[in-house]
Amino acid sequence: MPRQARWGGLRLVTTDEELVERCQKGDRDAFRTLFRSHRDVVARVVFRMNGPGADSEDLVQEVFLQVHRSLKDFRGQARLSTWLHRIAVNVVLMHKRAARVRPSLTHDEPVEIHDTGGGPLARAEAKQCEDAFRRALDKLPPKKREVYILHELEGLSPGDIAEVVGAPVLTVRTRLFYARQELAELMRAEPSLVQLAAELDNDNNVDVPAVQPEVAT
Amino acid sequence: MSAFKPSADDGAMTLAMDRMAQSLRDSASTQEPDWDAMEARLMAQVEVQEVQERKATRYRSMGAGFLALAASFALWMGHTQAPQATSEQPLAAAVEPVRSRVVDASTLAEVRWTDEVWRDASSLKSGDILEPTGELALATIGQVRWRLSPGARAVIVRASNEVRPTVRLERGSLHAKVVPVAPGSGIDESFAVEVAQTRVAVHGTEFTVDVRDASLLVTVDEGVVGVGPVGSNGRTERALLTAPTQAEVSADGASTVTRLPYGEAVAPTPADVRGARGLKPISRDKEERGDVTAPAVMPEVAVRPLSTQTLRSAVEGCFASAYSVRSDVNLQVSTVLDLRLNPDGSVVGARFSPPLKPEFQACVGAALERGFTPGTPSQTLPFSLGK
Repeated sequence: MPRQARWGGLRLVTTDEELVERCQKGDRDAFRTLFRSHRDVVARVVFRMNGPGADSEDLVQEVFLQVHRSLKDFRGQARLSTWLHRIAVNVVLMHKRAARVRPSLTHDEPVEIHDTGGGPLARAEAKQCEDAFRRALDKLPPKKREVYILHELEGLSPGDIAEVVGAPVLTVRTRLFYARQELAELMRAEPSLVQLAAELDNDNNVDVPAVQPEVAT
Repeated sequence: MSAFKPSADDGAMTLAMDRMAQSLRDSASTQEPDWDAMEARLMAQVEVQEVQERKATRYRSMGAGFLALAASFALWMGHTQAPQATSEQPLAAAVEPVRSRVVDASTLAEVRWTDEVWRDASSLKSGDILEPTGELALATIGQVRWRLSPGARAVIVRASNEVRPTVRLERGSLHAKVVPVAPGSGIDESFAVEVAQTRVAVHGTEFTVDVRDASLLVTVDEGVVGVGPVGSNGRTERALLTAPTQAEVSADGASTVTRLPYGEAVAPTPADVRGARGLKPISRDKEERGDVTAPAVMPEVAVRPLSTQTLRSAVEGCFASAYSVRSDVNLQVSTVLDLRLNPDGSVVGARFSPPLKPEFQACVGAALERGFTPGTPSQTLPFSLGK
C-alpha cells in the first residue's frame, strides 16, 4: 500500500515493499514510518484480543520489536499487513499463555440487569459482558481462537486468514465452524452472557412472533 | 407458510455471540495510546537491540580458531583478558536515543521533600537523557526520590506520569527510594530501572543499581525488588531480592543472579564510575515511617523453627496482606509450594507453582528464613487460599 509524505515541497510516495527494503538496510527512519503507518492496525488486533490497559500498550510495542527483529527474514512471501497480523496474534497468544499461570480475580455473582439505557449501570454491565466474552474466547483452543478473532473481529476473509496462519482455506473454514460452536458452548458457563442471550431471545420473540396457531373455525 | 424460529438456546447464544463480537469491534476502535511515548520507547529499545546484534555478529565472526589463538596468546602472556567490547565501554554506552535531548538538570524546578531540596523529575519526558557531572538528586513528589552518581548516564524510558515509570541506566549508579503503593491499588510496578536487557522493578522499597561490565549490582536496603528481562513489564519476577541483600545480576535479562553478602564492599569494575555506597542514602519521610511494606510474618519468634502448621498460618497471613480485594470479590487461589530443606532444617529452595504476587512470595520467603526442625524432610505442600 503506498504511503504519502511531504518533504519540503516534494511529495514522496513509499510502498510497503520500499519501506521494508529500507528497514532491512538498517534505516531507522523507515522503521519509524513503518511503525506510524501500521500501528493502528496492530493496536486494533492487540486491543481486541487482549482488552484495554497498560499491558496491551506494552504488547503493541513488543509486536513492533519483534517486527524489527524479524524484518531481515521477511522476503515478501505474504503482504506486510498479513505478516504484521500474524506477529500481533502470536505475541498476544504468547502473552496469554504466560499469564494463564497467574491467579486472576473473578466475580461469581450473576449480573442483574435493571437499566437498559446508556447510563453508568448499563456501561458497567456491558463491560462485564465483554470481560465474560473475552474469558470465553481465551478458553478456545489457540488455533480456533486465532481464526475466530481474525474473521469475526478483524474482518479478514478465510483466504487472508489462511495466509496469516499458514493453513489451507478449507482448514480455516473448518476451524471457524468449530470455533463458533465451541464458543457458544463456553458462553453458557458465563452467567452474564446467558442472561444477554435470554434477553436477545425475548426481544427476538417480540419482534418476530413464533408460528401463530391457526384458529379452527 | 410457517415462520422459522431457531432453537431458543442455540439461536439466542449465536445472537449473543454476534452482539459481543460487534461490541469488541466497537470498543477497540475507541482506544488511543500515547503514540509519541510508545514510539520513543520503541526506538530506544530498537537501538539497544541493534547494538547487541552488532556485538553478537562481531563475536560470531571471530570464529573458533581465532578464539583458540587468542586464548593461547592470553595464556602465554600470563593473564586472561575480558572481551574488548565489554571492558572498553560501559553497557549500552554506544546507544544514543533517537529523541536524544540531554537535559540540563539545573533547569529543572526545585522541590522540597523531607526538608531536602530535589530537582523535579515530573517534568522529564520519555527519551530525555541525564548526564550529571556531580551527584544529581531527583524526585517525583509522592512517588520516588532517586540519586544519580557523578558521571552516570540515564535515559527516561517511561516518564513519571506514565504507567510503570522506567529509567534506563547506561552507566554509573542509581540509588532510589520508592514510596510503597497501597495493596490492591492496581499498581504493579511503581518504578523500574533497566540496564541493557535486564529490568529491575520495585513496588515500594529502597535500592541501588550499579552498572558493571556485563552485569549490574543490585543492593536492596528495604522491601523487595524483582529482576527479569526487559519487556517483562508488570511481571518482572525471574528472581526476587528481599532486603537486606545484594546480588550481581547478568545484564542479558537476568539469566544469572549471584547473591553477595549484604553490606560488603564489592570491587569496582572499569565500568564503574562510582560505587553505589558512595551515594548519599535517602532519609525516610515522617509519614512513611512504619509504612514500608514489611513481611506479615516477621521473625519475632525467630528462635523457634517452623512446623508445617505454622508455615500454613504464615502463608495464609501473607496471602491476606498481599491480596487486598473488595469484600464482594471472591478470590480463590490454588498453588503448590515445593520446599527443599537441608538436614539441619534450613531452606535450600522454595518454589510456588504457579507463582503468585511478588509481595506474597517475599513475605513467605521471610517466614521461611526461620527454617524447620532438623531432620524435617523436603516436601511439597498444596495450598488453597481464599478470601
